[in-house]
This record gives sequence, structure tokens and C-alpha cells, in this order.
Amino acid sequence: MSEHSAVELPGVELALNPEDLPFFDALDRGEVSVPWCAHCDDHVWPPRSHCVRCYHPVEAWRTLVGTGEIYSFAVVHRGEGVFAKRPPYVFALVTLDGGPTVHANVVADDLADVAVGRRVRLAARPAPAQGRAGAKFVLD
Amino acid sequence: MTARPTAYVAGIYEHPERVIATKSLAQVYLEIVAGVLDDAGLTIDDVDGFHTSLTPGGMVSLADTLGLRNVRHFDGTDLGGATYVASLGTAARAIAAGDASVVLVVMAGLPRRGLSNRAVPGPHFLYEQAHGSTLVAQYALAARRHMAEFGTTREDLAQIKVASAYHASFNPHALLRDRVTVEQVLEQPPIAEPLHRMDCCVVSDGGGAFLLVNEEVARRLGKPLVGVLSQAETTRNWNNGRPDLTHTGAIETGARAFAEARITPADIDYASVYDSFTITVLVTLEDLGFCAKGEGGAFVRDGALLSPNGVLPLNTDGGGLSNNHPDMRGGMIRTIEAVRQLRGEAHPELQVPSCEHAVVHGTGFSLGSRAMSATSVLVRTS
Repeated sequence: MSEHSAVELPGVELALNPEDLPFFDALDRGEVSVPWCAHCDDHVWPPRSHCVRCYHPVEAWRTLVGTGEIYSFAVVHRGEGVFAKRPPYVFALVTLDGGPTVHANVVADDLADVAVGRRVRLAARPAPAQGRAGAKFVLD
Repeated sequence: MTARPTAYVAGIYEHPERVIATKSLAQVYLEIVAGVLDDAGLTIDDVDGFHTSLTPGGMVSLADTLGLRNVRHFDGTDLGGATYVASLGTAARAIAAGDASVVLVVMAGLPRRGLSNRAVPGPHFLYEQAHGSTLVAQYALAARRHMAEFGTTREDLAQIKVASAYHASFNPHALLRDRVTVEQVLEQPPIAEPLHRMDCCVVSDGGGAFLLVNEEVARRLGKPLVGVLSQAETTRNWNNGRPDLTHTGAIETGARAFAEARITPADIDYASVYDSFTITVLVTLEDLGFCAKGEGGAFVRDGALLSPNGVLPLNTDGGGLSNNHPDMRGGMIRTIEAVRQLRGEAHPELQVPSCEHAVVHGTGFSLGSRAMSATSVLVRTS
């Protein structure tokens, strides 16, 4: 397999709630930020207003180092919506160092290099002209 | 000694059509209910319990369409592909409590013309949506992780489709009736790797229904007695960002269902496992305890799933991979085929001899996370 995946992620119209905004705003700055429960000293993922282990409200977010490893991935050939016309792309779950396992896109020159357990790091990307874009990782 | 049934499946009906071009959804529902009442020998006025899932206008609209007059027990829960397996328990418990004596459980759908009975996405779906996830991609994540942890191969997954296609070749109503080889499965175009086209269930119209009744009604009707021994349901979520995609809720529902039925997987003569994708079957068989975790690939080789001579005859109608997949909720048709096997009414070439115990399992939504699971053990009694 040697298909090149598209370099930039498309903007998607997402129905973001207030508790989702810090994550997506941080991505546009090239950072990964997750809500943090002070009571449990643990991340809260996906983001919510409350930690669902202790039910205390979330009061702070933590910026992570932005590295991690691939927990699993799919090479999607039949995308939907704004992904419909893209060449095959990698939809992945990335386990962040010091944080949760999150949905992500992994961009690589050669998709054959993408593997479970591969180290990845968050890549800076521009904010999309329309909608919001997700987390873009590259092989480390 | 095994447990005693809490209720009996007195009627079953599977709509014969797979592509329904012009009939209304209401007509399809009515044809299905007419069919299930005829199979049981009951009338619409005997129905005092009513289960369905998401349906246009909600279950109040469907109750009106069907002309239900005497219903005093309702359940419209949506557990996705686990829905109607769960009804085997919830309806049986209502019958045991005396809340109902004849429960109609019905589903229909026309997805080929885009009529989708699905809920709007939940708040966290946007994290999948932002990264171009699809339904197939969600299951592909589970398949890839299983391959990485346990060495499972695409060839292993293909064995599940090969068995499905073999069984469907005996089913005149199946959408896909051609037998296939492992090589043919491997050659299919990729959808979301590692899943390719034949790893995915079909899209079909149609539906089905069953009638769950109390012992008094069941004995009066004179049909072969198929009883519900047990049922269990659960959910799996993202586990606060620590997902485990190689284990499903079937670990819990299988253990509970077998314990309540007082049998083990070794006592099972036939299995109906909702096969939304090939990986769904492989992981479910492990989690129900038919083989150890990680050994599903080895288990499904050598014709293990073929009826009647395999170790575990599975989905003898062809399943969602080949027969049909109306309303994208596989628990209904899986239940119907299990009842056929227990009655001795499966295709003669595929009938399991002396079929006494069957397990039915439904998986809803995704696999491993944001998922529902339901398991039921059914028994042929006298």
C-alpha cells in the first residue's frame, strides 16, 4: 500500500457544546487539552461537565504533551459527508501519553507504515476555513 | 438440572422480501403481524403485550396501525442489534409477573429506500464525526486491534462469511445465495480496512416478528414448545477514555445467561449470533465462552460453523451477512432462526439433529465501546 492520504483534515460542521470547545480550540493552537477531575486526579473523556466516576464538576483542563501511540486504526475507503471524496485515510484511536485514548486522524506518506503500537505526535495544522477540524497525528 | 422456561415462543414470521420497492412500511408491518398470528394460531385480540423499537411516529403510531386493542404491557426500547434478544427477557418477565399473556414483538424497515429507524446521534458522536468515522470503521477498529493482539487474520474472518454464504445457498429468500470461497472474500474491495465488502452485512428491507406467550397459551396452541430459559443484557462504553475493543458485553451477558439457564456453552446445539460484521461473530464467540479469548480465529476454521456437522452450527438462514438485515437490528431474525432450529423447521439440509438448546446473541451500535449486548438461551421442551 502506498497511497498518500490527504495532508490537511477537512472542516466538519460539528454541533459542539460548551464542554467540547476547549479541546477543539486547543487543536487549532497545536495542543491537546483534556478536562481534568481534581477529585479523581484523572482525565474525563469524552469531555463532560462532570466526572462520571465521582460526579464532581470539572473545573480545569490539562494540556498534554501531545504524543502517544496508536491503539487501533482503520483505513477508510468509503468516507461520508466531507470525507466522501477523499483518498483512503486513517481513522484511528490514539492513546495519549498521560491521558485518554482519543479519536484521531493519522497522516503518513505511506499508509503501510501505520501500525498498532506505533508512536505518534500531534501535528500543528491550520484552523479550517469552515467548520472545525479534528486531531491530526503524524508518525514519530 | 436446567432451569424452567419463563415464557414460550409460540409464533415466528420472517418477511420473505428483501427489496421492497413500492409497499408502505405500514403494509410491511401488517403482513408481518398477519404472518406471525397465523403461525401461532392466534388473533390480534389475543395480543396483550407489545414490543418494538424505534419506528416512525413511535410505538403509539404503530399500535394504531396494527389495530392493537387489548395491550397492557409496552416496551419500545432501542438497544440496536441487541433489541429483540433483550425482548426475550423483558417480555418473559412481564409474562411471569402476569402483566401479559401474549406479547407481540415486531420489527420492520425499508433501509434500501433510506427509511432509517435510528435515533439522532448522541453528544459524543462528534468526536467520531470530526475524524471521518463510519459505522464500518468503528468495527474495523475492533478487528484491527484483535489482529494486533492475537494474530487474527483476514482469512479467519473470511471463514465466517464462507459459512454464512453456504447456509444462505439453501435459503430461497436470502438476498445473496451464491456460495463463496475464502479467496473470493479476500479479493473484495476494501470498505474500512481491515474490513472489506464481504465482511459487512447486507442492506435489505423486510422484517419479522415473534409471539412470546405464557405456558397455558403455549400448551393450548399445539406448536413445538420453545421456551426462554434465560436472558441478560448490558452495555459497554468508552470507559473514560480507556476502551477495550477486543472484549464485548457478551462476556457478562453470556455468563449470566448460561448460569441462569444452568447450562454451559458445551450444551449449546445451535447458535444465532448477530453478524453485523464478520468480526462481530468472532469476538462474540470468544466472549460467550465457545473458545478462549484470542482463539476465535482458530475456532472458526475447518468448517466449525457449518450445519449440521460443524462444532457449532451458526446462523443457518445465512445471517445478516447473506440473508437479510432489515431495520439494521439483527436480534429479531437471529431469534427467529433459533426457534426454527429448535422446532425442527430449519432447512432439512441444515437442521441440527435433536436440537435442544440454542443461544441467541445480539450486539447493538458499535463493538467493544458505545455498545449494547443481549444474550438469551432457548430450549426445546415437551
